[in-house]
Amino acid sequence: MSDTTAHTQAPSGGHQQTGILTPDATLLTLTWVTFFVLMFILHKFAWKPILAGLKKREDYIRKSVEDADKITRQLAEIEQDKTKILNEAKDKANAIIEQSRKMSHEMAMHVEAGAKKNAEEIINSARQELAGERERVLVALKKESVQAAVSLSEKILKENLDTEKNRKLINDAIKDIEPS
Amino acid sequence: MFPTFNLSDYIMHHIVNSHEWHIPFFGAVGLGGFLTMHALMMFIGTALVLILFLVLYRKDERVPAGLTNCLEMFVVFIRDEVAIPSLGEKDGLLFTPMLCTLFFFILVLNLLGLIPLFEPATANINVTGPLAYLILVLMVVGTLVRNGPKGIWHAMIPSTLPKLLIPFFLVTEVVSILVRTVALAIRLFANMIAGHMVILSFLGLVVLFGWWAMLAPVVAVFFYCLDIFVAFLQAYIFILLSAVFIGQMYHPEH
Repeated sequence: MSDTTAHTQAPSGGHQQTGILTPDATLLTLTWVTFFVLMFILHKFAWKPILAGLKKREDYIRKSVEDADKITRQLAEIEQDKTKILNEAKDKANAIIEQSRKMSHEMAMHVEAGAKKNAEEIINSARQELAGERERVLVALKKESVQAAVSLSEKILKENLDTEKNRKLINDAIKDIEPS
Repeated sequence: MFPTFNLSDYIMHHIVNSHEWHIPFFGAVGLGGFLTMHALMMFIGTALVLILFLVLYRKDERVPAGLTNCLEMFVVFIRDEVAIPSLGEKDGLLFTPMLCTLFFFILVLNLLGLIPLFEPATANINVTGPLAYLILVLMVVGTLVRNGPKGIWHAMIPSTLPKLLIPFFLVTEVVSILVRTVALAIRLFANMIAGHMVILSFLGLVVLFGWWAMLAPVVAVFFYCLDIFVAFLQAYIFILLSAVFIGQMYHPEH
């Protein structure tokens, strides 16, 4: 819109004017020329680089989004693998603990059985030794008794004694035989 | 009051093309030779579009911002929402530069007309006409080059049409193509001229009635805002219809 002041002074002044539908070959040609020049310059220096840049950026964004999706998927898979591995490790650890517990229990049982066996063997051996010792003591006692009886007989035979005296001698001899 | 003031002359004087540029305090500056007001506006508009895309647009920005982002938004919109849906992937990409040029050329000329001291070049049928004629050439000659004479025949006459109806259809289709093109030119021209007429009418009321018409500028401002919207809308409609018309001729099966 041109200024109102200028116009109110000369609303339809001396300049050339045409109607709104009057054909104007010069303006028509100028429109084509201007538009084609503009299109040529813009096509060469603007649209080509702009559209190529847009395409490049779109491809880059598309690729980035795809990569991000891929990474997210991989991350989810890794997370799953991690959980799986952790669960497996837990299971393995539990199995190892269980096995160890079982083994230790078995070992304890084995050790206990061995100890029992050993103890029995020791007891048996001690019993056998005791029995042998007892046998030896009885043999020695017998020998001692025979010796005492022989010495007593010798005493009885050497001395002439009465019945009461004999009894007293025998009792003394028996007392001597009894172990202290 | 201005008893000699003629509102009709006042409006026409501002709308119709002339060889003078009225600048405050300088009066009417004569434009020599072939140069008219609308031609000058066209040159200024062209220069602005070139500055916009060759100077202000930053091609090497990795993450575009501000004006670059805004311009890219328009370019992407034209490519993805106008060119490709109307013309298909291949032709859409081929025609995107032309449609972008057309859009920004028309838009800048429309908006330029809303700035005081400047005039709307698109409110001239001698500007919108050649642009619409260009679309007609692309529709007819483009189809002829792309699909051959059979292609243009198929674009106008459906293959299942009874032979008796062919002459009738042929005439109708030729008229339809011409009317579509003329309508394309008149739609833009009429919308732009109408918007300015309305604004100038309300501003003229102030000159005619003085304080009695003090609300008229408020209404004019409202229509001014509406005209900004119309400037974008008409540029969009022009390229959308152009793409649709060309697409209909190139791909008649759709």
